[in-house]
Formats: sequence, C-alpha cells, structure tokens
Amino acid sequence: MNFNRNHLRFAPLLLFFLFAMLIASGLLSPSGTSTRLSQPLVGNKLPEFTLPRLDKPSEYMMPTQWKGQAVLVNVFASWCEPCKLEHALLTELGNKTQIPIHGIGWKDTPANISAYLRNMGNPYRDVAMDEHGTSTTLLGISGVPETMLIGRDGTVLWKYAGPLSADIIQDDLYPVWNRYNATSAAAR
Amino acid sequence: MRRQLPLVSTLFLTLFLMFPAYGGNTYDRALEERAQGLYAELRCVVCQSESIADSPAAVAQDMRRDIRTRLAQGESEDEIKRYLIARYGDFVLLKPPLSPSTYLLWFAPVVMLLIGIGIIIAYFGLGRIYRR
Repeated sequence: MNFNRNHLRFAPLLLFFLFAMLIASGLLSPSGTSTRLSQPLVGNKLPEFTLPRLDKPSEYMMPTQWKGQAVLVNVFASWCEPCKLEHALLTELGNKTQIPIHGIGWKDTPANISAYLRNMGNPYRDVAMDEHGTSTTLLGISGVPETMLIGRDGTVLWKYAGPLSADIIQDDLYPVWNRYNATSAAAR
Repeated sequence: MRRQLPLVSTLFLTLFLMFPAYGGNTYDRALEERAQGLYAELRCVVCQSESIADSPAAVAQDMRRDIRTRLAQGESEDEIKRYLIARYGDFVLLKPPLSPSTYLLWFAPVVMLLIGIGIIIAYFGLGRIYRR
C-alpha cells in the first residue's frame, strides 16, 4: 500500500489513540490506585517522636520503646468516620498477626479518644495523644486514618493513608509482612 | 510641680504599659513573607489542587505552622522543602521538579504541538501554507 499525503489525515486520530493509551496505562496501573500518595518514608527509619500517653500524660510514647519488635502504628481520631469503618478490621489484624498496635489520637482531646475507645473497643497496646498535630509533618501524616508497619529496627516497611480494607490488607500489607518475616528468619 | 505629679506619673505609666504593643511585638515581616512564599509553592496533600496557603485542611494548618517554626529556627527554604519531600514525595511541590521522570510531563505539551504543526505542514505542503 502506498502512503500518500492523503493518508496523513489519519495521523491526528492515531496520535490521539496513542496518547489515550498512555494516559490509560498510567491511570490503571496498580500503584496508581492502591494508595493516596506515594510513601517516600517507606524504606527509611521512622522519625523519632515523643508524644504524651493517653492514660498517663506525664509519660511518653517513643519509637525507641519498640526496638526489637515489629509494630503497627495507627493514627486515628474520634471525629474520623473512616476510622470507625476500619476499626473492626484493625482489631482483627492485630489478633491474627499478634503484631502490637500503637495508636496515636490525632487532633483530638484525651476525653474524646477515651470515650471512643470505650465505645468501639481498644485494639491498641498503648495510645498516645497528638492533640495539636505536632507529629503531622514529622511522620508524613496526610490525614486519618493512617497505618504504618514498622520493622524491628525502626524501618518503615509499609505506610497506608486511608481506611484499611480486606483487599488492602490481603494485597498490600500481607505480602510485605510475609516477605519481611521470610527475610528476617533467613537472616537469623 | 508637685500638683502635676499624679498626672505625669499616670502618663508615664500608660506609656510604659503600651510598650508591648510596639516594642515587644514579635511580628516579623521578613519571616512572614518567606513563609507565605513557601506556602504558595507547596501542595495541600488533602485538597490536592490547592496550595497550603489557601487550604483550610487540618494537615495544611500543621504544615504552615511547622514551616513557620522551622524558618524561625533558621532552616532554609530548601531544607524545609527537602524535609517535606522526604515525607510526602515530590508531589508536595506544586511545580514538579525537572528530572528524568518528569521530562515527559514537562515537554509533552510542546512536543505534541510541534507534531501537530508538522502534520499540518506535511498535509498541506509548505508551499500552500505560504501562498495562502
């Protein structure tokens, strides 16, 4: 088939399809849909923080207290509807994996957080209060709920902004957790 | 002289009490301008098409406060941006940096325009475009 000038009329249409394909591949790629934001803290040490404990405000929660054990950190608030939605799943996750969950009450009062835990149940090993958001930018919090899996050396293994779902736990978290256990078992 | 003493001392006392209003005022215009400049460059990670200058979101509020505190502590704009990028990614900058991964983003519109012009020229022929 000879291509002559007249065939050029199809060029814009062809280019449009190529462009649409490019956009579609970006939109549909798995990393584009599973998290709200890219999580650059993953692979790095969790920044040090000091937050007063809910039950004893004169004592503090600090990541150094967790060394030697993998933990989950869950940032939540009593005014946060998605937090209520994920609460049961979070509790189940803690029970199933036996990973301790440390809670941070974010931009909320101790009274509200205490009431929330009384009503919903308390899945947390301990809870610290960040009433004024002093740890927000430090930990790269973009909203509540947010959940992180921290390795026993303090490395952030996984960070998820948004309410946990069965799919997220199954497809995102468990592979990371299993891979971590496999590599740390091999290292011993 | 004696009779004026109460009035004069009252005036001095008033002046003294006014000191905090102008002498002790900690408003630092230079700092505020640098802070506002940074706010305009950073994306609110919640309402993602707004800068943190305009956003009412809680996270934006915390970011503004922390930026101002860090500037006051002597950190540079670059250090603060790096601090935020380390936690939120390049996405936190409203203008994405020019790096190999963003070349496509930056240059695609221009490239497509050039391709479009190229097609028009090829289709109509430069001669025809000139004569028109």
